[in-house]
Amino acid sequence: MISAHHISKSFGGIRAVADCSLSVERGQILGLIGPNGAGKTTLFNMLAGFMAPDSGRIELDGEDVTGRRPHELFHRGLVRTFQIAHELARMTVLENLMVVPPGQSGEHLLTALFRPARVKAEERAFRERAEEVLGRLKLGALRFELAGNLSGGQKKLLELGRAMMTDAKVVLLDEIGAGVNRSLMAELAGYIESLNRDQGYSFCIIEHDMDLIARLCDPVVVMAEGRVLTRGSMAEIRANDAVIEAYLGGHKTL
Amino acid sequence: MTALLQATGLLGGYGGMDILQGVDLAVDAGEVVVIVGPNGAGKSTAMKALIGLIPLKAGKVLYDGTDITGEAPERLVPRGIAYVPQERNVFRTMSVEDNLAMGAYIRRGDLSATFAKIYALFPALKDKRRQRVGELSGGQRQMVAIARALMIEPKLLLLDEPTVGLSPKVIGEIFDCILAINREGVGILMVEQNARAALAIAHRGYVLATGRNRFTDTAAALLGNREVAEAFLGGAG
Repeated sequence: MISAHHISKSFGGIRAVADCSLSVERGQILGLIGPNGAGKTTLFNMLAGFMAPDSGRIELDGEDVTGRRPHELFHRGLVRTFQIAHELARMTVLENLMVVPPGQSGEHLLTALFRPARVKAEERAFRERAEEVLGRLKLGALRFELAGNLSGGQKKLLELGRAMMTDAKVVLLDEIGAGVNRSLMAELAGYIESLNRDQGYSFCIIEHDMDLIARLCDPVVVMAEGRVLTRGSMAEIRANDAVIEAYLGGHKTL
Repeated sequence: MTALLQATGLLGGYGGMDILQGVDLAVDAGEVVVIVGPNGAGKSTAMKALIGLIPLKAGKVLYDGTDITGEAPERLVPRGIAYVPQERNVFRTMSVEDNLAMGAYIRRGDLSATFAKIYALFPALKDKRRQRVGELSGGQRQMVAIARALMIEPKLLLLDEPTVGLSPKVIGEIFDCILAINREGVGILMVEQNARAALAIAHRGYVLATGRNRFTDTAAALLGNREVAEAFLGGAG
């Protein structure tokens, strides 16, 4: 679905990503793990078009999309979760979800004026979808709350919800579990599984919660110091001494 | 043991919303206490309410036997209460050493003994003391935030999700630091979503849900409680 071929990116003198290749196949949930500062988020930013690689090539669905802008990639079915922007903090939780689907009829003045029934029907459909997403994320009671008033973990959930409002082919989730209660996280893992299995979404997930990675992801790619350290199943990763040294540490409870 | 901090019936929140519906919390001297619970349960809010960062409509907070309800946060720092917020908890454009010096803003006189103690606890920070904090890794930044709070030599340290967004290895290192700080006699109250690991190093824990106390017990008992594990810790361990 999406693949990076030997991509690199430097900031000043620092090589944040150095000659990295990875590929998310259709129907896969790929886990991307590694120490803080390993270059995972920079890699994500390049995959989603937020920055262009200095060298290398990115393909989406077999087509070269290197250097394409985020909105172009979004219209081709690629979504990445992001921090809630400040403007959206002044909108309600429900509104945050309802503005996501692209190409809404109500955006066009003439349609809005002369085809109100069509606009309304479309909004009703988006509303239903938004309500389903809110239910999954346990945010239903907060639908009319301003997004800016949510707790840290709830904002992460809303980020995931915004991605779920699209008919995306590939979703890039950047640390969706940080600050999210573990029991809810286990439920969200089930949600991601069903989106993957029943609706054909592919995922690439950056996450530090190893339970989540172990449950959802195959393969798992480990990055360290801008490079791909190794890749394999979670069982192989857990047994890899270099990964334990760089990333997992010796703490059994984590 | 005497209660270092004792809060009863905390009621309040932001604007019109009463996030806290009557929360009780206590930390004994030298104790490690963890607050866990779902998102939006009021964990961070409760911590802020303890130290006057949000106004209380009702409830009482005793610290070292003194009523500090409604006392301004800056008046609590000299009494030995240090707080590490979840976000924006370091000065990114300043060096490690300057960040620590900022933590000692209220102190006068020689700080060298405190610096020595803190660098012994965080050797990695000593090596990077001239470096800008914005250039450090996430784990090191969090260590700077905790170290800055320790500059007042507190009796009570409040930590709001100290391991959020950190890798498993670094989470282990942060918890090791917290244990080392506690061994010096500092009482610790922390909010954590890595609840299982946090309870593993804690004496006691509180489970908050929808602004109320749901479970209060020793850390071991909470870890062994099926209902708590299922609903709040992400399933049975």
